[in-house]
Amino acid sequence: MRPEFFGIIRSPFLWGVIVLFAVLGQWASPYHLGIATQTMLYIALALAWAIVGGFAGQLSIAHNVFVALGALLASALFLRLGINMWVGLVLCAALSALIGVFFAYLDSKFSLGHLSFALVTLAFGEVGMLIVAGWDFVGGASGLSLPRDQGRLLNFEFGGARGYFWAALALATVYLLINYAILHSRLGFYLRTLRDNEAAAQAVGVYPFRNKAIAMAISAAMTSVAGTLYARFSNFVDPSFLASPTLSIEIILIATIGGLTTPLGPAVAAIVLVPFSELLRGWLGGQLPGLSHIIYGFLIVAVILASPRGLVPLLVKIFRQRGGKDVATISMQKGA
Amino acid sequence: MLEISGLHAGYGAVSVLHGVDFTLHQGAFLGLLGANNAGKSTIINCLSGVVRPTSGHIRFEGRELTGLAPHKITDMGLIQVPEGRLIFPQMSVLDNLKLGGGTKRAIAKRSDEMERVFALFPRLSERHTQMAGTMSGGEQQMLAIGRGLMGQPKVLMLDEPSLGLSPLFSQIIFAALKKLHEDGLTILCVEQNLNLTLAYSTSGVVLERGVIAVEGSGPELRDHPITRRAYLGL
Repeated sequence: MRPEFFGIIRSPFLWGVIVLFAVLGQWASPYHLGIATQTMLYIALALAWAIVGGFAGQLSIAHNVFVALGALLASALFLRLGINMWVGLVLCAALSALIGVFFAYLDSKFSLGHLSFALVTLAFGEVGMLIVAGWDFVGGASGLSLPRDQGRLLNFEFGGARGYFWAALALATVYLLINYAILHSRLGFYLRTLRDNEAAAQAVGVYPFRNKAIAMAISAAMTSVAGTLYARFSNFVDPSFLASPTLSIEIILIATIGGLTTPLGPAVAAIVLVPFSELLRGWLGGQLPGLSHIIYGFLIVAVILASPRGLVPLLVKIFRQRGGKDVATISMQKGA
Repeated sequence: MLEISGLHAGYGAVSVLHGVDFTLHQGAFLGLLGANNAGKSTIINCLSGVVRPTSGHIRFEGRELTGLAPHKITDMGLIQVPEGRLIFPQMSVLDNLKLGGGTKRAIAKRSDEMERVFALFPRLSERHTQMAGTMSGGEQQMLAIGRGLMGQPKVLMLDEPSLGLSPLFSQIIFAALKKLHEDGLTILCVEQNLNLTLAYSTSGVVLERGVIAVEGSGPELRDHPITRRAYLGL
């Protein structure tokens, strides 16, 4: 682990923002808490994805499979077999990690390029959706409803909107720290060499399969855990949302728009985009359904045109021009 | 130290090497020469494990190398400085060097080796915080060699180190290789630049359309009619 990592985790700015969010949760209304929880879960999902998509540069479009596993299978195990959701969470995360390693194996076995890897994972994402829709054990196409939350933590119940918000905030914080830890560890360096040039990475003795498999396993397990929390948070586990490849695209969009060179990228983008899209839908959904999606789409195009490397690098540039230096600047210098 | 026998290799239906045999002795500085398409890079890529030979044997210190994965070969001390340098442009010079010394056998002596690399190429020391991609081609080649040295090679294999460099920088690079050789490093250098290579190496092998056409010491090769034919197609 490099010293930069400890600089970042000791940053008062970062912890200040996290504590501010936690305290704000105390007063927010359930409606706003719901949006905030969703935002935190998207941060977690985007950060988990960024480990393969950002550090290793592998565009995985199959991450909806891991969300679906964590959400649907853990819920089904609980509803059908009475398996505690904490246990289900661990089981599904382990299973997701195995599937992740399998993707890395395919990548290495058939030496898939970036584009072929994306297409293969897209196919698996679609297949995952079809399996879920045809498999009654996980609720088929109609989904599953979890029993009412009674606030028993041992049963994976966090008791109401505020509890879920704090749980999701904690999850997003842990994921942010994991991302920084990986970025500044040997694994992070090896992944970036593989992303930049696999031949050169091999010339310095990096084993592509092992490093990609570890990254994929971590990313898949983290995605699955976020999926389980999402399921418990939303009570009704909807396969057309949680198992659909569209969710993968949403995650990729958030991570990419924020910028993949720093873990702050996915976090900032989710904080901007998820509430914006929700509120927009709330304001405009009544009069002109669909208009909110159009505005959202235009906003995304505008951000990509304004800063192809992402929102956070753009913010850092503006910040630097004004002579500032903060956690984002420090992380950018090392993360680029 | 490194024995190549009956090496055949190719890409898909195209076969490039048709039975190559040569031996690299401990402490040698061997130039692997030849015109474009002769198969020089294919040999070096077979040695580093990036290309799988279709038949033949490669033995390094008595161990068979064919079929081993590239990172395993690097771990054994057979280290390639790839063609076109292939440094990591978005990382600092220091990080590039550290990566080269990340293998199991090299990591313990990483800081000693770093000092030796900086002594060999003081330019790298001056620029150690700079992004590698912002350096000149010659400096990047220095970095690529330095990165290879960080892995503590028993044999350093270079693929066209003079590619795209000015004559002055090519001389600097080859002078550094000569110094490494004098310090006891075994070097295999693939090159198109015949005169430059023969001026610094102890011996050479000339490759012509996938087979060894002639081998020998520098002056022998320079004026050999087969060398001229291999280069000029006469």
